Amino acid sequence: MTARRSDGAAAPLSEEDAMELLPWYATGKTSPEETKAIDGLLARSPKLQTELSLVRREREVARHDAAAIGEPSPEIFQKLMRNVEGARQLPPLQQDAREGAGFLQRWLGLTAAPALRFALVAACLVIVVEGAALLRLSTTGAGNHYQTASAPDTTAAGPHLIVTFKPEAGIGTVGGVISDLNASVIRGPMPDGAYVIALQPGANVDQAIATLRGHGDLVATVDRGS
Amino acid sequence: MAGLRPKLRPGGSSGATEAALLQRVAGGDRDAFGELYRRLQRPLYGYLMKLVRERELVEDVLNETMMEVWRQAARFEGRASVNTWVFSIAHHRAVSRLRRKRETALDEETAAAIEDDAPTPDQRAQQNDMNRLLASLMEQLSFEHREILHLAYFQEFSVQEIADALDLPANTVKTRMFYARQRLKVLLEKSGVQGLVA
Repeated sequence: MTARRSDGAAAPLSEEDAMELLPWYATGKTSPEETKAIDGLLARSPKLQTELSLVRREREVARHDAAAIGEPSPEIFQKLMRNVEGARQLPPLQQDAREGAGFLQRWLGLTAAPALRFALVAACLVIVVEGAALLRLSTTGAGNHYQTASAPDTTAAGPHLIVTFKPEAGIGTVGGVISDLNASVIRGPMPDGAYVIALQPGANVDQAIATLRGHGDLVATVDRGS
Repeated sequence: MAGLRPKLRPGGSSGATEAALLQRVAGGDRDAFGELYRRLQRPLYGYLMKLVRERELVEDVLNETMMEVWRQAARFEGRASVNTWVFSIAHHRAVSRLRRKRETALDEETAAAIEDDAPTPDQRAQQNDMNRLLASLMEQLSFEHREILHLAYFQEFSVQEIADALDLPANTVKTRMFYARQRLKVLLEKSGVQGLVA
């Protein structure tokens, strides 16, 4: 008995394969080919028949058990609608941004450890900021007094926050959080893994901190910077 | 907002697909969001209760999940179904909250300890209800095993839908289900049940 298996391989469906698929066979979620193959195997395998009986009993119990849980209280919905009021929605990802991210991923070889990913991206951001500052100096003139290339931009930026991200936080999501705040990474990672991000001038710092803390799955700590 | 219920305005979205609703949610449509919540609340709540088990925490995670749906609606790319996408968010939120709470959520080690409290054959005879026994044994499974049984049996997700929701390869889904059921069989045998197990 052969069937195209759900992993795409066109290979005979063994009794062991069928055994694995029985939970989905019982809910009608196997492919037509798999279903046909399992039907054939069931017809001549008492072991598989016993297993199917057990699967059906498990399913009955699981369904009965979960159905008895009921539904959430109406207060949850009320709270949710209060929270939605005024809550910001993220803009759609732009195609070019996604392509850019794909290029960056390939270029940076972002299969490395998360800490290294942040370091690489932070380094790129610092280079961009420095480059922009140098360009500004060269086009507007720095005057007769000495200043570092990075100084004007960082001091001109808004309030700073010191943020540490959780190791499992993905770079794309973290980048999204930072860009949603219209903030930019200006320094990091520091020895403790923290980053300094600059908000826009006049930004509401408390709100930004609350937003970052709201991403509890990504952000480990948030503190005010200088 | 007292008495507010997740109901539709007349002539609203009752016939719309979840994808169409989500598209409207992305445009800031609160009625569509209410309808989406109405459709998903029960399966999501059941799923989270199976995983997290504490009503208060479940309600928090449900709230967080739906807030994330509201925030991220415009970024849904349709690679999986809306259902799968929302369950994926709920899964990650639940894992994150449990991790933060430093709760082991009855991992295998804890389950093993509880096995001592599993009904003895005599107790089982008194219980005289195989389904209740099976239900209690399912509760002793690990977080991951409870989750996969629930998604396959109650939510009736396919292998691929579970793979999408949990961000796992399809073969891992099948293997995890296999081991969840193996574990259940071991628990059944330890409770003195013979004959049901192939």
